[in-house]
Order: sequence, then C-alpha cells, then structure tokens
Amino acid sequence: MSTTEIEILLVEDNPDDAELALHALRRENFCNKIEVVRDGEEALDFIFCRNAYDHRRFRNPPKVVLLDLKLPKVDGLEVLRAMKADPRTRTIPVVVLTSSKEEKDLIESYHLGANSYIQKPVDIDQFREMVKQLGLYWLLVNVAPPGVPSATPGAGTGEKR
Amino acid sequence: MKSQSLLNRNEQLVFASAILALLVAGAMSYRAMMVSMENDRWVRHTHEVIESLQDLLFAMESIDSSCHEFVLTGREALFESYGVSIVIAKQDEATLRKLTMDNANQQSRLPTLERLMTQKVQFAETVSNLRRDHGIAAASELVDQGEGERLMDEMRELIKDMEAEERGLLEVRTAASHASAKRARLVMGLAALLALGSIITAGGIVQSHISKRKRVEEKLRRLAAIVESSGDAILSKNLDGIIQSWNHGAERLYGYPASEVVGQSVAILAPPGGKDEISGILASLARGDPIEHYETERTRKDGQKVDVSLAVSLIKDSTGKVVGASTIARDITGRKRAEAEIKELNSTLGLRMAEVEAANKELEAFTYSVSHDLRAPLRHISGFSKILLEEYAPQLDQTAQHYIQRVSNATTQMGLLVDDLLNLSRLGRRELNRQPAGLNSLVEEVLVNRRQEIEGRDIKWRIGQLPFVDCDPTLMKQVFDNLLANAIKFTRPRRPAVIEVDQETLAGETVIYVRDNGVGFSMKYAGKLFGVFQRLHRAEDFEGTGVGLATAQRIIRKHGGRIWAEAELDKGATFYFTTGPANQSEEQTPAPDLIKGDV
Repeated sequence: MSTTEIEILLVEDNPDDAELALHALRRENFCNKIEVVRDGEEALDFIFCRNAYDHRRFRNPPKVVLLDLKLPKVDGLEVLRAMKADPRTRTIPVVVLTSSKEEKDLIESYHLGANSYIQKPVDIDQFREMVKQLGLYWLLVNVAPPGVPSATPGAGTGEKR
Repeated sequence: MKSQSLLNRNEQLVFASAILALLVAGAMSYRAMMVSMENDRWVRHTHEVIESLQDLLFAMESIDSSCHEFVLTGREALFESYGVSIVIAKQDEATLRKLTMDNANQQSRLPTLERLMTQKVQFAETVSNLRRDHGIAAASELVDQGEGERLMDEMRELIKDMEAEERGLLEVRTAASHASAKRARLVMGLAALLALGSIITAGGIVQSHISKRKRVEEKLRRLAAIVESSGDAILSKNLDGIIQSWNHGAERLYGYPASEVVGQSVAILAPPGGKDEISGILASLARGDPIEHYETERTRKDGQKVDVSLAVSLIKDSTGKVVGASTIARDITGRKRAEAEIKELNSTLGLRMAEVEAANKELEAFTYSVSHDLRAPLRHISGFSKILLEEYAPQLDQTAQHYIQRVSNATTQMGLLVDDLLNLSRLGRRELNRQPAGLNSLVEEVLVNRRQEIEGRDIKWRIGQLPFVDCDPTLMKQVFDNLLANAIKFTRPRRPAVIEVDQETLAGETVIYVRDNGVGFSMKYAGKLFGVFQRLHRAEDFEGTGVGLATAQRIIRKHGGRIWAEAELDKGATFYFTTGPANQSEEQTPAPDLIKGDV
C-alpha cells in the first residue's frame, strides 16, 4: 500500500463496524485509499508519522479522518485534541463518526475543532448511503487544504500570523 | 375557709321573726296563765272566808242554843259543847281576821263582830249564872227580854253582810278568773297558731334547702362520677401546690393511690430537676393565668418517667378569688413514642427514597448504555444480512434466503425496540422545559409527521378545541404522537375510522382525550396497558414495541398528570390524560375564533 495514496483514515476499534464501513467504501471504489487503525494510539502514530508510520510524511496527510470516539488506549476526543493542537495536523478534516448520542460528546467534538459529527445509522442502507456520501464529499467535492510545508517537528508549533 | 350560712337574708328574717313570735306567744301565755292562777287563788280565798263566816255563825248559834237548853234543863253537861263552840268561834274569828287582811271593809266589821261575840258570850254567862243561882224563871225572864236574841240577830246580820260582801267578791273574782282563763286560752291558741306557722315556714325553707342540696348533691355525684371514670388524670390543688383531690385516672397515670397524695405537694410528681417548673406553674396560676396544653415530663411512683400533656385551669371561690387549680393530665408517652417512630421512619424513608432514586438513576443509566451498546451489534447483524442477501443471493437457496430475511426483520424490530427504550430512559433524566403550548398545534404537527400513514386511509377526524397548557411541548407532542399512532394503527380495519381528540371537564378537572372506533381491548387487561413491553395485540395483527404507552405515561406523570384508558373489545378505545396536578388551573383557549379555522 503506497503511503501517498491514503486518502481516508478510519479510526474504528470495532472490527464489524470497520468491515461494514470498508464494504460500503469498497462498493464506491474507495477501498485502496483507506487505512484502518484500531485504537487512538495507532491513530496518533499514523497522523504524527511515527513508530509504525514513521515512513509517512506530514505533507501527505489523509483527505479526511473518520474518527470513532470510543477507542481503546487513547480515546477519540484525545486524538482530536492532539491533532487540532498541532499546526502540522490541525488542517486535516476530522469527521467524528460515532454511535454516541451524548450531547456533551457532540459539543466537545466541535469545541475541539471537529469538522463534522455523524451518528452511525442503525439501518444498514442508511449506513451505506452515509458512507458513500462521506467518501464522495470529502474525497471528491471538498477541496482539501494544501499540504503542510515540510518542517522540523516542533519548529512549527508557534503559529505565525 | 369561712363558713357560709345556709340561709339567705330573707330566710334569716323569717326564722328570726318566727323565733320572736314564739317568744312573745310564750310570754303572753305565761302571763295569762299566771293571771288565771291568781284569780283562782282569790276565788278559793273567798270560799274560805265564807266558810269561816258560816263556821263562826254556827259556833255562835251553838253557844246560843246550848245556853237556851241549859236554861230549860239546867244540865251542866251542856257546858262542854258550849266551851268547844266558844273556842271554835274564837278560832274562826281569828281566821277571819287573818283572811280578810286584804279587805278593809271586812276588817272594819271585825271589831263589831268581836264585840257582838263578847257580848253574846257574856250574855250567855249571865243567863247561865242566873239559872244556876236563881232558877229557871229568872233566867227565862232575862232570856225573854230578848237581849240574847237581839245580839244574835245583830251577829247574823253582820255575818250575812260579810258573806254578801264575800259572795259579791266571789262573783267578781269568778268572772275575772273565767275571763283570764279565756284570754289565756286565746293567747295560747294564737301562740300555737303562730308557732305552727313558723314551723311550716321553717319546714318549707328547710325542705327547699334539702331538695336544693339534694339536687346539688346529685349534680356533684354525677360530676364526681365523671371525674372518677375519666381516663385522664384529674387532680386539684391549692395555690401552695397541695393536692386536694385525685381521681382513678391520676392513680393509674402516676401510680399513687389518692390516700397517699392528697395533702401532699404536687412536687412529688416532678422529674429530677423539675421542681422549678412546678413552682413556675404555681406562680403562673397565682397570677391568674391558666395553662393550656402544656407538654412535659412527670415521674411515677415507681420512678418511671411519663410524658404528659397538661391543661391547668383555675378554681375560684364565690368571690372570684383564685384558690387553686385543677389539672387534667393525659398520658402521651405512646404518642411521643409514635412521633419518635414516625420521625425515625421518615428519616429511614428519606434514606430509602435516596437509595431508590439512586437505584432508579443507575437503572436508567444502565438502560441507556445497554440500549446504546445493543445498537452496534444490531447494525452489524442487519448489515451483514443485507450484504448476504444482496451479494450472495445466487449462491443461496430459497430457504437460506428466507431465514436471512427473518434475521433482517428481527433486527429491524429490535432496532425499534432499542430506540424506544433509549427514548424512554432519556425521559427519566430529562428536565421538563415548561412553556405554554397550544395542544391543537401539537396535534397538527403530529398529523403532519404521520401523513404518510394517514394517506389512503378513510379517517374521520374530529378534533375539538383544546386548551393552552403549561407543559414541555416536545414531550407533550410525543404523548399525542403515541396516542394518535395507536389510534391510527388500531382503526386500520375500520371504514371509516373515526378518531376524536377533545377535552372535557371531569370533577372540575380538564381532561384531554383521544378516542377511536378501532379494535379496542378488553378492560381486564387495562392494568397491563402502560407497562413496558406489554402488548395486548399480536405482532402479526398490529406491529409495535410495547413501549409507546409506557413512554406516554412517563411523560404525563412527569408533568404531574394522570393517564388512563377506557375501552371495549371491537368497539374502540379512549385514552384520557390530564396535563398537571388536579388543582392546576389551566389557561383556556382565549379566542375561540382563532381556533375555529384550525379544526
């Protein structure tokens, strides 16, 4: 799998959910551009190009991150907070995709800078439709932010205005 | 205590006059009797005088006749009776003198009588001597001269006068005696009458006093019986706190018999350190302040404490001066204990309530997380079933496809259930967001949302004029949604279906109702109607989760209202509900003309 081709990062600990999401995306031919990680730590490794993902580069970010909130090790909100706190990853669109209907999760997510908040539909057709729409929108319709210029980690933490 | 006269002033006067009358009558009777006795004495006296006069005359006659006889016979023996007669005559003369001391007339006659007697005796002597010395002739001659006869006649005359005088006196005295006796009788009769009158009056007074006393005694006995039989302790005391009466109730309450405490101070009932309280009560009584319903503690004879409620009232004498107090004491140990128990029960109840509330919250959280967590596997089952049916149908036979379809349907049903449960559990945690809402507009919204179901159905809607109420509109809309969804669903076999939404007033309370002519249900299952997962119809006939009415009930209860149903199998059902507590006054729809257009 080529690192440059990853357009969707799916952060989902539940293999069934992941499977169904992949199945839906595959139907829309997005399957080669998806990376699935199973917990918050892996997600952070991928996003911050470290450990197993140190071959990745910040200038090739995914076009969208589909983030579940209930995750082992580091939960979704922590991942979101870390991404939005770092100027190198701040511009990556994050779609919170969760089964949580808790209002505080919704508020907290937007507060931390989530770009969208979607509750997973129970109905499989609706789920498929949603996945399709998501793929279409974030990969085809939405104009992605320009890649972040290569910089030594830490040097870009102070945002210049 | 000053002794009170039994009699009032008038009665005292009556008694005094009766006593005075008796004294006067007595005195008068005595005097009348004395007068009468005196008169009698005088009558007797007169008789004595007359007797003496006659005796004297008789003696003188004897002397005269003895003298004559001696002249005729010369017998010396005659001188014996002659001498006796002289002595008798002298004695009679002396008696007369004595008896007539009081009578000057008679006394004045006595010298004459004496002279005549002397002369007669001398004459007799002379005659006798003459007979003895000169014989019968000489003596007879002297006698015939009539000197003796003349003296005798004179004497007779005198004695007759004296007797007449005495007889006259006797007459007067007898009359006087009779008169005085008559007067005495009269006076005594009057006195007796007066005495009788006094006795009758006094008797009447005494009688009235006795009957009055009897009535008072009867009343006192009754009161005493009431006091004695009272279950409360009733005691009286003077202002020094000395107990003066003590009933059975007091004996029961405090354990002392009356004989032990009457005459003692009430301070013996004081609990340790409670003497000041008792002197405080006595001081308050002395100032004239009664004590009403005062709760305190007392000590029984056996040393046990007893909680009592006291009512102390003043006892006044006839002048209105406070002389003591009566105390009614009631044992409230049981009540106090019950109060303490209630208090404890209440606090236990409070704890239990908190526990129940906590348990309830926990249960709600549990329900929420269960239903939430159930959604994921549900989605997976339905997702994979769908994929199987869509992408692998050619590889599956009809039966396999059928089973997979059944799995898919089951998951759909379960999804609905989970959604309803989630909704229900969320209600528990949700605060009511109250605002005035027109129920008609809520009904309208529900019908708009359900237009797909309604389309193609033959339904006659009868929507009346509903009030504006203070409620959580979102939740209240959900109630209408549940009830109307049921009405729409259970009237499916009806052509036309009739669904009515209106209000009515039951016992002063505004009640909203939703009525349909659907399949209804038997009232014997009415108790199950609002239970979670309780269904009265088979799923093949009418789909549903059994959560809708439970949700509606929960919402109505959260508003403080009530929901109930009336139905008949195959005839239809009516669901009634109130939107708040019974006393809540509801704003009625203000302008009917605004509403008319809605219906």
